[in-house]
Amino acid sequence: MNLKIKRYISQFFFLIFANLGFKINTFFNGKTGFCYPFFYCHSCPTATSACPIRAIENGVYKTGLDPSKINWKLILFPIVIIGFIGTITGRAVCGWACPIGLLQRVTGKFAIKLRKFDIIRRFENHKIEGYLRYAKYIVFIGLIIISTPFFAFMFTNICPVGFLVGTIPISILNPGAYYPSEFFNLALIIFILFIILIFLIERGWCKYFCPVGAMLAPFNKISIYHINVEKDRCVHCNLCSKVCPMGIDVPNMNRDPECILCGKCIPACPKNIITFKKTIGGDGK
Amino acid sequence: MILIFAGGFTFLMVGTDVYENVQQSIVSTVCLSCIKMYPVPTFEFVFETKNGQDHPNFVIDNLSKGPIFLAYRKDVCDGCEIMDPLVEEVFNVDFGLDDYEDYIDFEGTTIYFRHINVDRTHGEFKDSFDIYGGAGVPMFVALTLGENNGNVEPYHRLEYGTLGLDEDFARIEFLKSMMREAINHYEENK
Repeated sequence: MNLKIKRYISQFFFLIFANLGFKINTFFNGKTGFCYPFFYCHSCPTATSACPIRAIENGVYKTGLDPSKINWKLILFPIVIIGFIGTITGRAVCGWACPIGLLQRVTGKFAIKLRKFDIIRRFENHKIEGYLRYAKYIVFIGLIIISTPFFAFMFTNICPVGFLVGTIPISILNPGAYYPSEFFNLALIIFILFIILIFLIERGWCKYFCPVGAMLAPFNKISIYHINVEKDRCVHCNLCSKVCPMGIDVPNMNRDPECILCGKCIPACPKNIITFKKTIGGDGK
Repeated sequence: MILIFAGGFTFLMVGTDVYENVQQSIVSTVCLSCIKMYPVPTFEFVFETKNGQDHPNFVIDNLSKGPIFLAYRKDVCDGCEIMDPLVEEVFNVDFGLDDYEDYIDFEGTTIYFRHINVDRTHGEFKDSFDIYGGAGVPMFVALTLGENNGNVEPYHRLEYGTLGLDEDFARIEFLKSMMREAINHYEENK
């Protein structure tokens, strides 16, 4: 079985796993007290677990970052879950488990076709694209670590994924039962931009704005599993970089924080020098 | 590093109530601020509770003395930040994030007022959230008496969020009219 099929199976498994949160009877209640290690919203009617971002927001909400007011349990819980998985697989969660990653895998096929347009290619090669990748860290720190404790304005108030898997299904299942809140219009605009983004840029949400991706990215530097390139044998044909959904310069990367370990670069390499590697207690070389 | 995270996870699961906390206060209740919507106003009093369970004892006890107003919130609740000051103004009470109860004079009628923080309360007060609605916070319940097939029974009205209104003065008038209606029903059926 090739890697592509394995990854589809894994992503569909986690999509189902993330949506077993319905209650059938007193013996089956799929609502757990865990946090997802990826980006998914607990306001989805079938969600099993909590959004890690919302859990952190609940921990710091209106605390002014006063340590005595912070609910440390709620902050540490998603961090240890993401940290544990991150130290084993790095950002592979984005490529192999995240339902929003699966969505972008589908929309990415459209985005790849749009690369024939000069404006898309120019954007992807422009230096501003590199800077834009830091936006996810700014989103995480700005909206979750600063805005929530000091201004009570939370990322989840305007989250486009909450709109996609929460607002839309709940509106469909309960027609006319809800009216828009004060954040609805802003969230709708951001949701439309989110949809445009993921159709225009392959993995646009993962690259630029995902706050869970921002939490997972640093773990690529120390994770047990990672992508390894035998650089001394590389002929720099760049076929691996061309297929990389995250737009990484694969031959020159060294545990790049952007790598989602999707493995698309592995079969693309004509010299077979790109592999998954398991390293414990080393730098992966 | 793995051992640190695994140890931290084990400690949080075994040594704290974080699992129950996340399950009850985040996952099991619809997050209205996450869906950016509130349930539409009902404008009607009903006899049946939302989940079919009996009214809690604190409601039955106080309903014999007068109408009741219940205001529910959670620790993290955008709508509550908007509505709590208005509730305080309407009922001339002063509550923070914690539970609060008082018998207050509302336009010449003594009513029982209770503010309930679902994340901090317990027992029948916590259960009452699901009994009357449970679809999110802020949630408001006015309880009174009504006639049902010849019997006088608890009669209540449930509202959520910012009440479908954009202006504070309109929200205040909405809450007042909700309570006035409860008092009228109470006077007719006590």
